[in-house]
Amino acid sequence: MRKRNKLAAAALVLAMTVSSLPVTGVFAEEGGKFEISVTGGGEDSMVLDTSECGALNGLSACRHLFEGLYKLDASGEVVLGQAASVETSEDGLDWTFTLRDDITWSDGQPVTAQDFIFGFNALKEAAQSYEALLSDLTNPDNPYEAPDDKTVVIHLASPTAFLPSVLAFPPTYPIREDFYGDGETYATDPDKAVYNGPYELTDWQHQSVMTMELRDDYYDAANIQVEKINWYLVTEERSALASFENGEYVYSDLIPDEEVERMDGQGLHYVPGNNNYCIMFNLNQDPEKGGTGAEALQDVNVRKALALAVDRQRIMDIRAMNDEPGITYASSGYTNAEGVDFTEYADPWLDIDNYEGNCEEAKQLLADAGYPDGQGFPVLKYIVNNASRKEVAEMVASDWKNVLGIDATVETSENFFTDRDEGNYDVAYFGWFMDYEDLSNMYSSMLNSDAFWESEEFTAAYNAAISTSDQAEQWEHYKECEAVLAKDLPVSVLLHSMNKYLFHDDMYDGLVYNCSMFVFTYLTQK
Amino acid sequence: MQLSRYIIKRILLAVVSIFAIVTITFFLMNLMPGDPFMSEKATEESRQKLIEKYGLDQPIYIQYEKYLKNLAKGDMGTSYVLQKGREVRTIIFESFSVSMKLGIRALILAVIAGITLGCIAGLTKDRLPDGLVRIFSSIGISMPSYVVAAILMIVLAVSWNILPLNYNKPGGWIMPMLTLATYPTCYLTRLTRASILEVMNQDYLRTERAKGMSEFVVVFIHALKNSLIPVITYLGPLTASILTGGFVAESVFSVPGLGRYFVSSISGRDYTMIMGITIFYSTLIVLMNLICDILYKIVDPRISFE
Repeated sequence: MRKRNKLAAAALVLAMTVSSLPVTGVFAEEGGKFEISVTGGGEDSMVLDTSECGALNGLSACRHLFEGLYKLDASGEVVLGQAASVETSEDGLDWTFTLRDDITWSDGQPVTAQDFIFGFNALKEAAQSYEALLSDLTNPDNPYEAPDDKTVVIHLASPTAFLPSVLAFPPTYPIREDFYGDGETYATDPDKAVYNGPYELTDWQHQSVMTMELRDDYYDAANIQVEKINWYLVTEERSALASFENGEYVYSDLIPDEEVERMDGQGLHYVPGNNNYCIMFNLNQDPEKGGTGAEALQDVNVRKALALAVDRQRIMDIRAMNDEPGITYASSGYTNAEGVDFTEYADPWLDIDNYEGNCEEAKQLLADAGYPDGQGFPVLKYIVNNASRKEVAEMVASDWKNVLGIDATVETSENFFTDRDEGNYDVAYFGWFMDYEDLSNMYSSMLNSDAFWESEEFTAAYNAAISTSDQAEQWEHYKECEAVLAKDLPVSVLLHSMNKYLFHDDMYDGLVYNCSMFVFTYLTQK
Repeated sequence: MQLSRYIIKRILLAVVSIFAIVTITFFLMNLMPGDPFMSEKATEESRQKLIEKYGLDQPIYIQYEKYLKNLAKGDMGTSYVLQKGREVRTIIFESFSVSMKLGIRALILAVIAGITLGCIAGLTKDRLPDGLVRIFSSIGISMPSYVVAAILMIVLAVSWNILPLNYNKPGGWIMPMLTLATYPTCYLTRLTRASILEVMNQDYLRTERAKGMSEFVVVFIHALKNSLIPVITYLGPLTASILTGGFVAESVFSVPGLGRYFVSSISGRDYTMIMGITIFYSTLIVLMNLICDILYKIVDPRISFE
């Protein structure tokens, strides 16, 4: 009896084990084409309606399924996509695009200029994060038109050299009106959308995996080797890492902090995060406009003292996330023809290596402003929106206390964005993550900021920069933008965080990484 | 009281309970700070537009009335955040199907293993098998499910590499099933053991032995049946909770089930999902408790419905 039981148990274990063995050779090969499995984002980030998408991973998925007038090529450069050519008027205000002849939706219908116009309008109506992306740039009376099926004309309000970057960004992609309906259920399942990008969504097991298959009728299909993408919707870092390590996933953007050191050299990659991490000062003094910040913050020397007193190196060391110090508003990663990075081209806001000297200067500035050793200085209300940002804010507050004798209460606000927008703070977390790789996107974040700061000088420099396509001239104007921000200090930059991801570069080449978005279309096997 | 009358009475009571749960949840949910449309890049104007679009700017009692009217028609609305634009009832149906499939396996394992181990421990009181079972069940009860999941993952998926981590892969259900089943197995083991020990001292068993009945009949036909009442009590809520999945097991092993929505719908302020899941889960619990009460009567005819 006992023997039989043991045998039965052994058989059961064996059966369970055999039936569960992972399928080997995840990356099937056939005629040069291959299949990959990746993870990048959970279900909630997968809004595939291009007029409503906002999460970075969802935007990445959209880059595979849809395509705009421009697209990212294999080297990550913005090049013409669905458009065959573009002509720009002499004043730079009218951009006329002629569509390619060989572009179709996944149901075989040709992509028309009207599909682009419908997409632009849907974006404006959707009232999501990027609703004003295009309408802010275009002529309000006559923003865009489709004179015929093959021509899209965009009329700008002022010359905008970065328009190609905007038109390569998923929210400006075309939408088929007959599938969109009222937009409520558009693209929520594979059959509720048609696709004009390299891939078609053939299956979506919600919360689990999306399957994208290369479209035979995509105009560039012959040059793409990734035939099928199994996009796992995983949010658990440990299981994603284990799946990456055992070769199931080619790419994963999930890695537990404590495993970062171990994964160094094992597929871990760092790239500039195209972002900044700042403290924002509430400069509003008009109750009509919203909540007012502490009056002491009106004095630019006080803001400078607060900026100088923060030990950025200590914060970066404690975070241990490979951050770059915040000495300019823009982050690194933008180089000119000579290979100079913009962060080296612009003047630094402060000397991070001279912290002791900075502290002495900060004390003096505060004393000159009438608050020697912090005497009489109000308690600052410092709001943040999550636990990790609270940790950083507490480090900042501790520096202010130790160096300047100033108190700040750090609070995690449940209605953070509303509180910041309405001015219910003295100091707040602020960070900008760029949408597309163009410095204009970084500086546009300070045009109508929650700091209640306005500067004609800054706006003029910004407008001058976006009106020219000459990089040298542009950089000069962006340098001016930096200088104005450094002078007025509506924000103080603490650091620039790096993005990290896991990628099997021992087996594959050609991953395109652009502003925290990733494209697998151009992967090739080594 | 007749069984049919009893069932009708219980169903009416259940409807009242569920209505109370819906009402309390609706108002508590609206007291939570924040809304589903908060985002770093969305302007305050676009947020307001969305609040108006979904009618969240209307007085709370009007929103409540509308929700009840739609609910009466079986319409739970669409998800705002987690699966934006998809119908809540579709999401619940799909994810519950997955959780239920996994849960039934875990439940069968827990019941069979739990009762068997409990019987073994009870019948071998203070001997080696009893000791081993008690150690196993104590450890299993004390370990939080994320620890169980992590141990399974490290041993079976990473070190030995014999099981896949992702639920979608062949055999991917085994580790989440084991994670889900560990606690109830151990709890049922302890419950059955205690119950068996109590029943084994009853006079009627001594009488049965005196009458010459075999030990097998005494233990497995008479003692076990009578010792199952506390087990059945526990099975009601256990079935409801195990069928709806577990946050940890589903998150760690990427199971597309209902379990993770319990937490994520609240943190995402996905109002329609919070309501839909609460209604579904409370209905399931009420239903399971009713079935258990009826099972009592079948197991022990002395129990009255009065």
